Amino acid sequence: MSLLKLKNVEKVYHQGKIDVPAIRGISLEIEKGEFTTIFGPSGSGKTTLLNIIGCLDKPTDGEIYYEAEKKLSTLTKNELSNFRRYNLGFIFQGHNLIPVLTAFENVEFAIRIIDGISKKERREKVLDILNSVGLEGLEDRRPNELSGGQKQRVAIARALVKNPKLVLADEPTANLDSENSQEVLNIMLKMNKKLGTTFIFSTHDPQVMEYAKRLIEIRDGKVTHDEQGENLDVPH
Amino acid sequence: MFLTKLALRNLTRHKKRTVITSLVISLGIFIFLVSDSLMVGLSDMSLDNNVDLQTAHLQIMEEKYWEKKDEMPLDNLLKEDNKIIKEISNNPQVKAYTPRLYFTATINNGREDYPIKAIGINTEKDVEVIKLDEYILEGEMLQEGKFAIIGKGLAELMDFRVNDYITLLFKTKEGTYNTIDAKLIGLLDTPHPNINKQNVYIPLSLAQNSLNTGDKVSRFLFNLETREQSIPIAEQFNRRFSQNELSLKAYNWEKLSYEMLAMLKQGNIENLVMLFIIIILATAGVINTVILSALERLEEIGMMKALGLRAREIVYIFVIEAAGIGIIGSTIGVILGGVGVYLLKEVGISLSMMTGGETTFGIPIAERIYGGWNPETFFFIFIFGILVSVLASILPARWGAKKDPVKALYHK
Repeated sequence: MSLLKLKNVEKVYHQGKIDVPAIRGISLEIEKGEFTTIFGPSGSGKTTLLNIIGCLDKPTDGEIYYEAEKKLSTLTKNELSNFRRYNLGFIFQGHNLIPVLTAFENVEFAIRIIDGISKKERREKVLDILNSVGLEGLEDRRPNELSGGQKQRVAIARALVKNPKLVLADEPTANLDSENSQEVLNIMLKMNKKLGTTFIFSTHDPQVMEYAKRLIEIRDGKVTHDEQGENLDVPH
Repeated sequence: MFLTKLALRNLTRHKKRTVITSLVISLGIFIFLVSDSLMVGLSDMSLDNNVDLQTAHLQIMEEKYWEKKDEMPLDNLLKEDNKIIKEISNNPQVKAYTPRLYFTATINNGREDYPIKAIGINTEKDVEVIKLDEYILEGEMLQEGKFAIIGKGLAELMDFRVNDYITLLFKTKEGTYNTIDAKLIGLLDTPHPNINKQNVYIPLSLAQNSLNTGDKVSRFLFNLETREQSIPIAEQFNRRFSQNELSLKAYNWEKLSYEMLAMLKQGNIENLVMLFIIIILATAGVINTVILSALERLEEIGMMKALGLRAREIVYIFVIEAAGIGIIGSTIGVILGGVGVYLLKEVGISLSMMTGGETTFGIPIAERIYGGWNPETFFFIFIFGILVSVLASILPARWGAKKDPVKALYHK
């Protein structure tokens, strides 16, 4: 059973009287545990597609199914908020950490808003995930006391702490140097294997694509290439 | 709880902005508290001075005289030796009473005239009701004979000194002109500027003889055990007058001070204006702060929405931040206000300094105004400051929280 199914998804932006299509009838299926990269030139529609998959944006047309039965395109704003709260993790290009909270609190934020997790359980989950991303001992540091790579690791920990089935990452290494990029990607790959979390990236960095187990190319809002396997043909 | 903690931590993001917005609220609260204290002090002192030196607790006069009392007419007068007045004065609540005869006159110093309010007083009884004897600055209290006492303001204006002779020119009951030449035996310095500048006191018998009013007087002034008794006692007296089919009427100090009370009510309106200014200041400050915060934190708002936070939870964060600003501002404002009110209460403020010494705007206070202490106002304004901050933050917070998450995340 696929985790996510997109059926003829379209997205049109209205700029004054002009309609600008960003996604043109994309149909896709994402299986559980995939490590997928969506790539394409700037303006091709990859961020829009990621936002639609992440329920941050609604498609103009088409259907999105989660675990075959849940039709996401019919949910209200509050239902979408709840869906994101329990099922999705996000990693942004800019880590988007809250500067007045420590690394621990930034990660904790994602599960503080989820009911039914005790304080003790919360603490264990946060410390465990921070250890997994290599931030042991840095829990009490605020974002301004962390390096760029460390901040992005906090953001990864925040996305993974609630153990979501799907993590969406929009150009997660764009602000990192090569060494930090590799570290971050290795962590995500490790989590993908360890927790079985499904990852979908958007990127145009060939180094990131090399980590992917599935490559989806988008041009002008359409899927032009979709390939999966161990030795993918990464465009350079 | 976590969102509350986050909201309060957010106050430390831009400390200067938090402090400035809080200080704007503090300033408004400080001004309100000081203004309220002045009004309370002004009101208490004005009423005390007016009752103690002018109206007494209660007055009895003919109903028709009341209608024209400001003109101080010489008709509709009362008999000085009045049976019903004697009877009602046996009431145990009555401490003392005295007759007075009011008339208009001009005072002359040989060079110029000045319009004054002349009052014939019973030299023995009057001091039991209106304690003018406590305010003799120079000379002595009024005695029977062709004597007069006046306020120091009038003495300075007309260049009179103790032992000088003053001349009063007035119309008698029949409308013919008459004069009184009286020796000035005392100067008054009361806290009531009108008494100091306008009043001339002469013995009642001298006034009656000169005005041809016989044994008539304008009013009887009563002092009771307490000021509060004046309302029920006046009602009691009035019932007695009605039963005896008399056209007399008792007026309590509130009715006698209605002009002043109206003026003090005007002061309360000024307080409302101050409240309005606080609302404007606090609202402008808080709206500005919340909008700036929301604009700066658009990506964060987008991230929170992506994490699954609902709009109302984001609104809550901003509202709690505003409440924090309100609490800081109100606390500082109340502390500063407390210091201001303490100083006003202990040191006071010179009325002549405020007005340039030219006028007291009809306020019956001559020198310094001392502030009054009103704990309820402190409590009210503290809560008010917080409430205004919270209410002012709701709309801009909703504006921020309702931002589309995609636009918020990618606004740059």
